[in-house]
This record gives sequence, C-alpha cells and structure tokens, in this order.
Amino acid sequence: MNDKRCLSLMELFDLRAGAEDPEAWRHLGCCPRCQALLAGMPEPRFADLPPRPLRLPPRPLLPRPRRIRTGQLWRAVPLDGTDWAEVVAIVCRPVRWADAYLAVPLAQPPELATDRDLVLGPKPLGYPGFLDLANPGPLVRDQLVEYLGPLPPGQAAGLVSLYRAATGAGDRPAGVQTGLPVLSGQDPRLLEARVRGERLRPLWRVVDRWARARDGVGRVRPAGRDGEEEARPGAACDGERAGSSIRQLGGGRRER
Amino acid sequence: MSLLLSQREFADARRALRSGEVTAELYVWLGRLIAVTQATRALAPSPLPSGRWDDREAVAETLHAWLEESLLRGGLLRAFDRCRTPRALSRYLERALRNWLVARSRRSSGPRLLERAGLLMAAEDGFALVRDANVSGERWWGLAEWRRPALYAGSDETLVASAWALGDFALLRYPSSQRSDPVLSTSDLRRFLRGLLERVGAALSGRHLDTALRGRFAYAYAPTTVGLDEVEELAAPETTAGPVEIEDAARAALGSLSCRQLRVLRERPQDTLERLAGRLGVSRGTVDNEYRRAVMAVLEASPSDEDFAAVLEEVLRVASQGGNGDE
Repeated sequence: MNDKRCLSLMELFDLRAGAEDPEAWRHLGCCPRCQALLAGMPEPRFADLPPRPLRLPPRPLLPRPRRIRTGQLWRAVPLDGTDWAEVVAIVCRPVRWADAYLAVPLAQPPELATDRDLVLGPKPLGYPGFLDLANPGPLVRDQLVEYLGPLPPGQAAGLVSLYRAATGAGDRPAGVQTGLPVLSGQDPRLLEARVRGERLRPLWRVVDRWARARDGVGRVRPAGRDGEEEARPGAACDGERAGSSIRQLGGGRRER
Repeated sequence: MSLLLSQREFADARRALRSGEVTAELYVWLGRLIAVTQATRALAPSPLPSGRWDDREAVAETLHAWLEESLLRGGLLRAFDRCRTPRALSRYLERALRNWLVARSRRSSGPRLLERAGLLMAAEDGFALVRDANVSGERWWGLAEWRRPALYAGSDETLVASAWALGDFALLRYPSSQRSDPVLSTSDLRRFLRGLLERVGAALSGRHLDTALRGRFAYAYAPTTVGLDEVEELAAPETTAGPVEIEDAARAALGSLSCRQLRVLRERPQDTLERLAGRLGVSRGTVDNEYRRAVMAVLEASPSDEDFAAVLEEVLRVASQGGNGDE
C-alpha cells in the first residue's frame, strides 16, 4: 500500500459487507493487489476494546495569520479534492507571481534527510521531520488551509539559505541542521525523494498549469485580494533570485 | 455498518487531538484497525509485544504499545495533518502500524548485525583480519586483496554517508518468534561490508562498522541495552519455511505492495522496460525502481533467502487468482 491509492483492509471489509462506495469499487475493479487481498478476506469477527481516556501534549489551533511569511508552516491541499494534505513551509513569494508562494514540503523520517534538507525537531509540530528541499513547489493562498505555526527562531533564515544554495544562488549555510551528504547516485534517499516528488505533483499542479500557460514568466494573477494586505516576500528571501528560480520550476520539476 | 470512522467522529477526533485528548471513538477505532490486521493475518506476529496474534490480549497490548511508542508521540498529530477523510486515515494508519511493527522487529535484532558481520568476514576468503583484538569492536578488517592497508582515520559522517552511497538493501524478515530476525540477508550484508571497505579504501574496525550500520539503518536500532561485547552467540542457520509460513509471508508481501508494484512484478519478466513503462504511463526509471522495490518487499516478507522464490511464486499465484487489474 505504498502509494496510498490502494484500499485499506477496513475498506476491503466494508466492500465485502456490501458498502456502497463507487470510488472504492472502481479501484477494486482494476487493482490486482486489492482483489487478491479481498479474495482471502476472512469473516470479520472481533470485539471492540472498551474506551479508555488518553491524553497527549496539546497543539492548539492557531488563528490564520493576516500575512503569509517565510518560515510559516501550513497544511496545504491540492485544489482537486483529494483525501490528502501536506505540511509545507513557506520559502518566499516571488515578486512577479502575485498570489503564488514557493513552499517546501515536510517529509519523514529525519534519517532520510540529505545535506540539502533542513532537519526539524519535534518542537513546532509535535513530531520530527525534515523540510524536503529536493521537492520545492509553487502553490496559491487558497491551498493553504490551516496555519500550524512558525519555524523555530533561526530556521526560517536557514531554510531560505538552503533553498538559495540548492538553486545555485548562494553558498551552503553553516550551522544549519541538515542530513548527511549524498556521495553517489545509488543513495536510496535520492530514490525516496523522487517518490515523494511524484506524490507531491497534485499539490503543485495549480501554479504549474498557470506557468505553462504563461510560458513560465510573469504575472499570473492580480496582486492582493479583497483589500487584504499582500505579504511581502520573506525578509531573508531575495525576490529577484527567487523569481528566476520559480521560472525554472515553471518549466517542470527539478530533479536532483 | 462501516468499520471506518464517520465524518463527524473524524472531525471530533481531530479537534480533540489539538487540545490533547484522544476521543473514545478514535481509541476504539484504533483497536479495531489492529483487530482487522489480526483477523486478516496481513502482518506476521513476531514483532508484536506478545509475539502471537492468537493471544486474547494481543490487540489491547499492541494498541497500548503503539500508542505509547508512536501515536501519542506525534504519530496521531502527523496522521491528522496528512489525512482529510476517514478513509485516508484508515490507509495512513494501517501503513503506520505496519511500519511501526517493522521498526520494532528491526530494533529487537539490531545488535546482531555487527556480530554477524564479524562472523561473515572471518569465514569468507574475500575479507582479511588486519588487526586482531579480544573484543569485536577493536578488530580491524580489510579486503583480502589489499596488501598492508591503511587504517581508516576519517570522520563518522563520511563513514555513514559512504554507507548510504551503497544503495538499497532489503531489510526485514517476518520470521516466527522462535527464529530471530537477521535484519539483512547474508548476501546483502556481504555487499554492504565489501562496498563500504571499497568505498573508504582503508581497513575498518568493528566500532567503525557499528557506526556505519547504526547510521545507515538507524531505525533498526533502539537505544542500546546490550553492550557489544555481551551479545550472545548466533543460533544455527534457519531452516526452510513450511507452506503456511509461505502463505503468510505472501500475504504480508501483498499487503505492503502497491498495485503498480504488483503489476510490475507480474509483468516485468514477460515484457521490455519500454513497453511496460508505456502501458503504465510512467518512465522507464520508475518501472525499474518499482520492480526493485517490489522484489525487496517480497524479500523482506520472506522467512529466509531460501524461501524467496516460493514466496514470490505464491504472491504471483494469489495475485493472478484475484484478477487481472489494469489501471
């Protein structure tokens, strides 16, 4: 079930019991893996556990900030109504792209980070991970559905420095927590990054589509909406350089 | 009645988590998710806290261990950050359960890797003991063809990065609880040791090898509770599994494959990379990677190297009975 398109065992049990879920039935009709699992499915005989109260460290809901800034963490969704969301960190808003933001996704586990990725401890989100600099992408404000808080102090600048280093616009920053270097093309962390890139395609699709329509250059939407103050590009982000980076991204996903 | 959470239960659970609570509905549903896995034998029992699926308390014990070791330590927050619907949650957490059990299994057998590495290098002609010592961590190893090799004096970071550079390794077995998990097959362990020595171009001590193994397979190691010098002798080589174990392994492999990987596994031997890539609408490289991943998933589920062919055959047999999907 690596790509999460396949059905869970619970969904297969539901289908076996006659659940009406056209999408699941459609998938079942064309997936040998789910067909094989369903064929070997036993009768569901199990008793639920008695409920038990449990507590964990809270992570309060935060109000949506008025301005979108470098280093903010958000839940972002594709605009085509899929079941999945991604956690992303905002890198910057290129000046020539009025309503688009450049973001990098959060990935796990931290052991898969390379020396280009920014490793995060459990502090901001409640779980560790790393910001996947191999798979940056553009998205629009409407895709940012929930604000999760800022990166810890210093890491926002580290994120921008790493992004600039990855695009050749700056030197590799010192004192930023990254993973280990990649010494060969055989390194499985590169393969994992490509797999994540494939998964992330729907998230970046909106701006990619616009970019292709506009040859990847220039303004794609009027600045500001409903009188709302538009965010300036993050203080640490060089707008022109980021603008040139996003033009590269508009022509297709970069791969390492 | 659906086994999934309802939309309302899902929304309530998400809200409650933010204020630090697990709702009763979510708790019961998590138990149900484990019970479903138990009922379908989609995972081998060896990594379970009790080591058995037919134990009456197995579901409760597994849930509590999962909550304690993973879900309450950020796992649930991450799940609700990623999932927007109850069905997504069922897919995400089913996979998370699998990964957690896999990690448990790997952890339980971590320290054996270095010991096996020492035995393998001592037994095989391709390696040579460069400097002997009473404890395994102080023994230095090189390649047999080297004459007077230098002793490695580089950093641990370079060492671990070199270990990553060696490529992918199939990691997990689902053995019975009586036969403990070797983590890496002998051939993969040999490839790892030889590749690492070639890459650094110098003799490595047992401590270096331990650093490289722990860095590369970090998730295979729990905080050390057993000193390197206290590790027990290895048991006798494993015997070949019986039909029930092969069926269980095939089912576990099937559960961890995606449908695309299963298709690639099934069709790759009869087709060229180009044609298969064209049919699946992906690049040749993707087909190649998917094939490698699929073979590794079967290897990982196999009780031993010797059983791989039988498990693969069983996976393909079950998949062909299920139908001929074409997405």
